[in-house]
Amino acid sequence: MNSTRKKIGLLSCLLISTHAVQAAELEASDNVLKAPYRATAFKPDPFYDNREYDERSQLGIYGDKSPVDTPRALLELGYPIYQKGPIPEASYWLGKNNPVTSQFSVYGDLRFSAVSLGESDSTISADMNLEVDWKLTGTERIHLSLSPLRDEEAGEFTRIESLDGEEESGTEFNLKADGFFFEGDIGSITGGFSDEPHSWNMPFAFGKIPLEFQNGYYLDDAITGAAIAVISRNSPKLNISNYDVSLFAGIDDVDQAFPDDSATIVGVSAYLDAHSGHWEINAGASSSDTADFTAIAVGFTKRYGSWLSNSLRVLNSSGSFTDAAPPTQDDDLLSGTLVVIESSLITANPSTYIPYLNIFAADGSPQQLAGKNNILEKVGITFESNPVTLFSGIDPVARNNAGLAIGLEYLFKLDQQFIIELGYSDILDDTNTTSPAEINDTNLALGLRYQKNINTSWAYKIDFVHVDLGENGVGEPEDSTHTKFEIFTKF
Amino acid sequence: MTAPPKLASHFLFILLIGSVSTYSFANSNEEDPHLKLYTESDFPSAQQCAGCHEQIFEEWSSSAHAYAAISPMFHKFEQAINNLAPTVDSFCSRCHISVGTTLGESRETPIWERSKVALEGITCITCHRVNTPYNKSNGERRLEGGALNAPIFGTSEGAGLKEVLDKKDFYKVRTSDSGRGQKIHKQAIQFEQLKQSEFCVSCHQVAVNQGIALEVVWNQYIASPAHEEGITCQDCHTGKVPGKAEGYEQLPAAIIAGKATKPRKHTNHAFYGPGYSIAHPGIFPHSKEDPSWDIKELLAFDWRSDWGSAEFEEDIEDGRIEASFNETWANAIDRVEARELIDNNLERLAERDKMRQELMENATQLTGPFFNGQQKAGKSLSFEYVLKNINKGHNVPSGSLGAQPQLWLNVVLTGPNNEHIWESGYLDSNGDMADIHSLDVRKNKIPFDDQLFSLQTKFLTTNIKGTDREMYLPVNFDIDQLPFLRPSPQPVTLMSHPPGVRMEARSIPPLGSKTAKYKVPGDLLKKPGKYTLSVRLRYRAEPIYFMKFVGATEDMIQSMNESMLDIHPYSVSFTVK
Repeated sequence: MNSTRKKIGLLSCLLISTHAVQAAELEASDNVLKAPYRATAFKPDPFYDNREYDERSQLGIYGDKSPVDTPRALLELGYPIYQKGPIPEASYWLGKNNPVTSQFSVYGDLRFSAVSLGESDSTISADMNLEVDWKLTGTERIHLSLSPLRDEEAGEFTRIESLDGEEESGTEFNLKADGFFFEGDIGSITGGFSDEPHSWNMPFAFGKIPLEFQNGYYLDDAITGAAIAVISRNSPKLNISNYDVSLFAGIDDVDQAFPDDSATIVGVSAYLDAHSGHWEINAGASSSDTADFTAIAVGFTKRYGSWLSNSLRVLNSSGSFTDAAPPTQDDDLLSGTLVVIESSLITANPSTYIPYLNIFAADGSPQQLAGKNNILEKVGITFESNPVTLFSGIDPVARNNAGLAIGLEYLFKLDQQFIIELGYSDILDDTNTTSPAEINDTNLALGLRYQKNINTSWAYKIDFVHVDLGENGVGEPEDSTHTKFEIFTKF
Repeated sequence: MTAPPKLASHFLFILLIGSVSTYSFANSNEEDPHLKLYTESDFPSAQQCAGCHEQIFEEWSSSAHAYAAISPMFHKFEQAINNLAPTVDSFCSRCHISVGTTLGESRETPIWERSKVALEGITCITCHRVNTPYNKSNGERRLEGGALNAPIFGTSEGAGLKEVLDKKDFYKVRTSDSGRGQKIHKQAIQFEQLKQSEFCVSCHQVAVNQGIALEVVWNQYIASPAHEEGITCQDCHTGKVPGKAEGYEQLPAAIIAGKATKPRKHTNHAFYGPGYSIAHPGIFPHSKEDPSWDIKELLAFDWRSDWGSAEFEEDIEDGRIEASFNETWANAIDRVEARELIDNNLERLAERDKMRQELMENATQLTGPFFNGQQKAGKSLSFEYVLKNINKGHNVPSGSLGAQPQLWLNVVLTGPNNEHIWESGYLDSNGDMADIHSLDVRKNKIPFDDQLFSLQTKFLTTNIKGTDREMYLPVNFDIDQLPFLRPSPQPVTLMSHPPGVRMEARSIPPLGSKTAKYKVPGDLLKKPGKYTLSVRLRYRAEPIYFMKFVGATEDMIQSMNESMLDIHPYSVSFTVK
């Protein structure tokens, strides 16, 4: 060791002696006595001795960097996203303390799929998600989401389908907005127009806002309305490192499980980092011409020991149909409780080799506050369905049923993915009047997925699902086997 | 479903769109020709500033700001995340290499091919050539170009500069491009935000597109008692005492031709923080004058050996030892001179170590052990320590959470004969805590530390279906493996986190505390006698597993482990009956 490093060692000794003085002022149990600090009592840190100097690796730190083929957005106006070069001069039309540096970009993805739906049924389809973003400041922006090749609401898609021996084809050109909102921060905006920068946060958004709460179990919808949040607070008393609270209200475009487009919702979501994990708590109410209900959800996520990642989620809804509802609607179809236990094992390769087991049980008909009623799609890939490609697995409706998805995900070097999954769903109680005839008693499915990047913009994905249906009470069970090949690009 | 007459043509149209998408409208990495292009001479280097502001240069030269472009972890991480999420592009470089990025240098350019001022990272003009009062701009700040004699932006109206300009002959200065004397700024323009906390927000509250936060300290600060009391970031991080708002020194801003300007409030440009350098000490801290060797030559110097020390060189000369040298360092005189540079730099880094130690001591308070129940042989021993965050300004730990800084308790129980009985917070053979990321734990070489008290913030990503798992990067690879970090389709500021990715904090809020509870099994306390509990709060800038993930070198890992801080270390003894 050279002389300078010895000096550093002496410095460390000096620091430790300082600590010894501090130790004299310690608060502790009455029956302890101060003792000389024993640094050697601890297990040793890694020790490095006589390691050969690696000149090549030192040079490589700075010299082995390589260019990456950075995919650009379809259209970029203003200064481009994350590019080198000078930042343009700002304008101040949002106030002198909220400078505007405009960035307009259009990006998204484009997907082509060929699906075999068993026997001679098949589809070939195209789909596109187009995002139009006009960033004004770091906090204010206007965003538009389009799906120009499909109109899901109208059931119009861009595809060629061959079903039951009949061929049909069509293209869709749809400019209806899936989402169209302004997102900003009241603190930044008011600060911008005042003499002093206003140092507080209050994000808000209005328009047609896509929101997702409780990983989509509670709410997964683009609602027309507004939302506001208090963010990045903490509570020393309650030992909460961070919490955020969002309030939201939707007055239109609220999807519900029952056919009624008059629904409005109001709700609150809270996120708390506490208990060595995180909580998400949601509460809200929905009101429409035909039904009123409330929905609450609680979720807690944590890693346990060295082996388990887990989330426990409980969703409960309770409500009744109004006199305007069709007489066939039963109040039980609005009320129920869903419990989901999501687990994955922490393996020797915790980021890329992930065995998982997700178990659910739905008592009654638990309702999302807003969403497309395909809540069990969050449970497993064998519960997924796609209206564009018609690729589908187990019925994703949570209604008086229980089941699970057990699978294994492998992500290689984060450049490809393989998933194998077994999905299962069964009716809890055949005698329950809320059991709809269309839900099959027993669903057992095997799902496979493989996807791989072709380059930094293109990738392909192969999905396979075989569903073994039990008796459903309305006819003979029909097993189904779907296979999908999808190639997609992001831009 | 409508049936158009020529379906094939529609698909061709779609394919055309797809083809266009693969072509860069912005023509890849070409600069926008409408933007003014700068040259290196538009951005004076800190070395130039040191001509008059030597003390400030010296304070800054070993700071985290000065380190930003040299940091080996920055370069390794930046390359790794670009490989995995290719739309990141120059996002990281915009802050870390502020001037170089403004000058249009590509993110992958080796540091020895960059402009000199680019290597200075967050250099003088990164702050003093900004006159736009940015808010949360995620590191995207415009730097105003201009040579050394162009106006500079400061916290005051420049009374000191005015005095110097009034006495040009006395101070021997000039503001013109030619002539005699020290070249200085024509004008100092007050930029009010520079002395406010708001100035720090553009780089210290940073989210990548889709709202993935890497720096959250600003949001923590504005929810803090310090903010309510009007204590600024600058008060604690550039004041007289590291981490404490105890005022500022009064010192001259400049010494010109040996003549000091009038003393004034001195903001310490060391920018106190707990981070540290793991770079080759030949190239960092920055020097006021260029060394005699270029960066590549310095990196070839085996700084951990005794090369260039008097004793070593005498042994070599006298043939008592043999050693082989690379071509650059074959000459003993070169080695001796380089050793002098490196030793000097190591001493400067040691000075910085004192500051960061002081900072962390000032920010935290550790008390305990507090026993629960009696201490008897054969009975389990329950006790706890309480760690308090006594800084009013933000959580502990905080700062650049993208780097995942670690703060944890290391507690050891030794027996009557000083034998090691039990420990928590120990490290594996790589230096990682024995948590789920430890390679040794994963290979069952060492036990999992099930009582570990760690305040490290974790990034989580959602599995393809189901729960969240800890992930090295705040990027989700489960939906597909082409994670494009573009502005989110959702208003993510209202959803706490973007779908599929989140940050989970374990840190202690300002003036809050957390209790570390431990239980030593009774079968380990076999005999009565005097036992000792030793404790230390440990800090490290980066986890080793994360360093390995991004391809850090062994030397980087060694330096990271060797410079860990041990905060509040002490021992107590007690009697087990």
